[in-house]
Amino acid sequence: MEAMSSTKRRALAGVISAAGALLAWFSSDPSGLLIAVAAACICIGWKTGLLTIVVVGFAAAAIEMASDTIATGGWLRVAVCVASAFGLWLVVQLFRVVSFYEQVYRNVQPTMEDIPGLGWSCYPDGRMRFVNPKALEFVGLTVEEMKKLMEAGDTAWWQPFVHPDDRERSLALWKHSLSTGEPLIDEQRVRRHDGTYRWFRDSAVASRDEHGRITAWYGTTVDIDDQRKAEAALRESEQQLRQLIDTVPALIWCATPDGKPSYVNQPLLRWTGMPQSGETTRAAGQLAATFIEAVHPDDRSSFQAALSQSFRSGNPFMLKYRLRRADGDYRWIDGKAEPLRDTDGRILQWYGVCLDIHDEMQAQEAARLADERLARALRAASLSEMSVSIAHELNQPLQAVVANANAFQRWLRANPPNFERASRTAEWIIRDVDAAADVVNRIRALFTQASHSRQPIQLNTVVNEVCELVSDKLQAGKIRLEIDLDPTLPSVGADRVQIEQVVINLVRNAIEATQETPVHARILRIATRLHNSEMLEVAVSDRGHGIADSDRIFEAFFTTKKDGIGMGLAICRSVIEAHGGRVWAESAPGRGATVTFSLPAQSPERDRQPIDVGALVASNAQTAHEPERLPA
Amino acid sequence: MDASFPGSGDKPIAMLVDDDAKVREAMSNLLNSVGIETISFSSAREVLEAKLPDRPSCFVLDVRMPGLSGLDLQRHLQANGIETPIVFLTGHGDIAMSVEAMKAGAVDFLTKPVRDQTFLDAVSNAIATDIARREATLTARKHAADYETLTQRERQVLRLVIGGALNKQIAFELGISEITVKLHRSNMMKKMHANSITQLFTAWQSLPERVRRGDE
Repeated sequence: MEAMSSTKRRALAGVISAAGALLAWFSSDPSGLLIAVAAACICIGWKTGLLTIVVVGFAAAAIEMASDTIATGGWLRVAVCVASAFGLWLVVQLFRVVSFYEQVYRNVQPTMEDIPGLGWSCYPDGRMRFVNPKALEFVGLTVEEMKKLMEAGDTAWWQPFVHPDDRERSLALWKHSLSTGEPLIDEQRVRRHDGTYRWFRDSAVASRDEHGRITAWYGTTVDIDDQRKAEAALRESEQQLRQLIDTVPALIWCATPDGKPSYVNQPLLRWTGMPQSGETTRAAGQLAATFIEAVHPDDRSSFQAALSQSFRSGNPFMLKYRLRRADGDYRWIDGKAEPLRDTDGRILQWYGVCLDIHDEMQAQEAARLADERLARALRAASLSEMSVSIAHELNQPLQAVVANANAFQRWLRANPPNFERASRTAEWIIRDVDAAADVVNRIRALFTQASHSRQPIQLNTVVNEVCELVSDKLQAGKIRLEIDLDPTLPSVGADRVQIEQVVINLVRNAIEATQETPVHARILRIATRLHNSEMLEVAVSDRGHGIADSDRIFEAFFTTKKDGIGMGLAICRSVIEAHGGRVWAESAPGRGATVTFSLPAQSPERDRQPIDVGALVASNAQTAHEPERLPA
Repeated sequence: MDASFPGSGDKPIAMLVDDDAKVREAMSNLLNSVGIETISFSSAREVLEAKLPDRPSCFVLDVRMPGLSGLDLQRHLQANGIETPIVFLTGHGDIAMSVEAMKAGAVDFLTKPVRDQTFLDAVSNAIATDIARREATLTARKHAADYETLTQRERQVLRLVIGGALNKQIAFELGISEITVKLHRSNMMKKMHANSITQLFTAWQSLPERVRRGDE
């Protein structure tokens, strides 16, 4: 019965009542109607019972009238029936009250013991009714002690087991629940039998009968100490993490998968001077707008494009851009962002950093400029520097040979001749000559290393660059430069550095030759042209004193300069011939000179060997007497 | 150092400084063949750390050396008060470099490869310069020692004699008799080993300036 729902119970009562009514009708005896009263009282309630009694009264009267027995004691029977119905109603009500208390006092105990965890129950007024064995065990209470507590009848019986700091709040909540019947949810520290306190969550609900009366309070108490501690640790670690993020000298931001900023750290706010707000979860759109506004106008479109591209594709974001600092300066920022993905590869969050690399960028830029200047200086100086090195390297063994040869002579001419020293001197001479040969071999090796692979180069570009390199010298010498470049020149396969050195060398020679020319006639002319559509020619002309011996100027160690060593043009010839070209000079005495070199339009594969300066130096004596190739 | 050498004496010695052993040996060989003793150093640093011989000598320095160059060594030697004459040898010296070296007191500045006679002449010349310099230093030292033996009164007389004062004027100046002046003067001349006023004047000139100014 108890388990049935009220609808079912009403239906059952209706059926039984109808059956009773039919029985009464056919037997013409209203006592059958009592069945309906009993059914209504038991299955529905006391109000319906009373109503049924009234209906039964009328129904009984109707039956009596219908059977014409109303006169023969009919009314009496109706009255007896109604009285019986009322008596039945009273009996049922009494029984219900009795069975309710039975339930309250006896029925519950076994079910409480089955509650996992700590369970307890109270009377509606809050007195202790029952505490399950686990709870007793936890607080270290014996059954006798529990009975004493029960007999004491205190509604706040649990207080001795609760931490003093939590008692007041718990008591207030308990009283509130007792007076209103609202469920109790409370967290408090409960003393264990060993005296340590652990956090527990109390939840209790009132059990009510079908009339809404509270019959008892049932509660469970769950140990949440570990959870509380974990939560506290979590809070602390989150706090630490946040402090870390707000302290590291990096600008950090987070964004949602669709690119809305969700967090920016304190350094970022400070650095950019964005308004500091306690909550960093401000309106995302506003935050993004403020940030983009701080990006340098020149970088803004590329910044937005790169960022939205990353948000769309999920590729990491990387960009160097300028960002306005709080003081209004734009500084270079190395921006990076990576997405955090879940196991399915979906993006959960974007994490980004902005690193201030302004100082490094400036240092790098300065270093790059310095490197460039140095490289230019080296390019302009390398040939003469190299010549000095070669001269020094060769001078050492030569000096030793000369001195030892003289000593050798003297030891022999001495009186008496010192043969022992002479013979040792002769050994030294041989050794020194070998050393000179070694130097030559070393220079050869040096050139082998220095020979770069050939690439297509534009001679016009080379000429322009050289002119730039020597512009200081031209200005200092008050020399006017005329450049006549053929724009249709094809490219040539050549070693750019070597060809550049050749042009520099020719131009410097021309500048030096022009030193004694009257200022108005100091003109240096550089022309490029294509000859027979297969040879490219570069001609450097000056208005100097001309070359007296234009046949010999390309020989090693031949020089017309006071402080020259005569290597420059010899190296030039080696370089050009190694590239499959020729170099020659034309001069009218007193009217200047023109030195021209030619290079084939297509780089000949066979000419890949390095320049053989060593051989050049060593075979100087032979080449000096070769017939000069005349210019075309 | 290639050879052991007596720390002092009159035989000249040439000190060669070159980082190239071949050149060092060859130059040393050449000098030895004309009877000049040599001592070789491979770096400027080695020279500065060595105890130099107290003999007529000269340096032959290579300009271009790793570490301290020949010109650097010249400056260091001068700073240490070593006035030994220097002959420079260089592979590729320019005019500016030679001017600097000569201004700083180099005896000669030669370019490698150098002709033997040119080199030997330069070294002999440098050694001759050093001999003269050493003699001058020696005489000056002797004169200074002589001067130290003079009494206060004799020094006053010396100073006035050098100033061209006659005995009578000296006597007046010092407030003593002319006879006494003559006695002081004769003692002073003897102590200074001077037979004439000219010799006395030469000796006076060789004295350190500090003494001549009277800052004793």
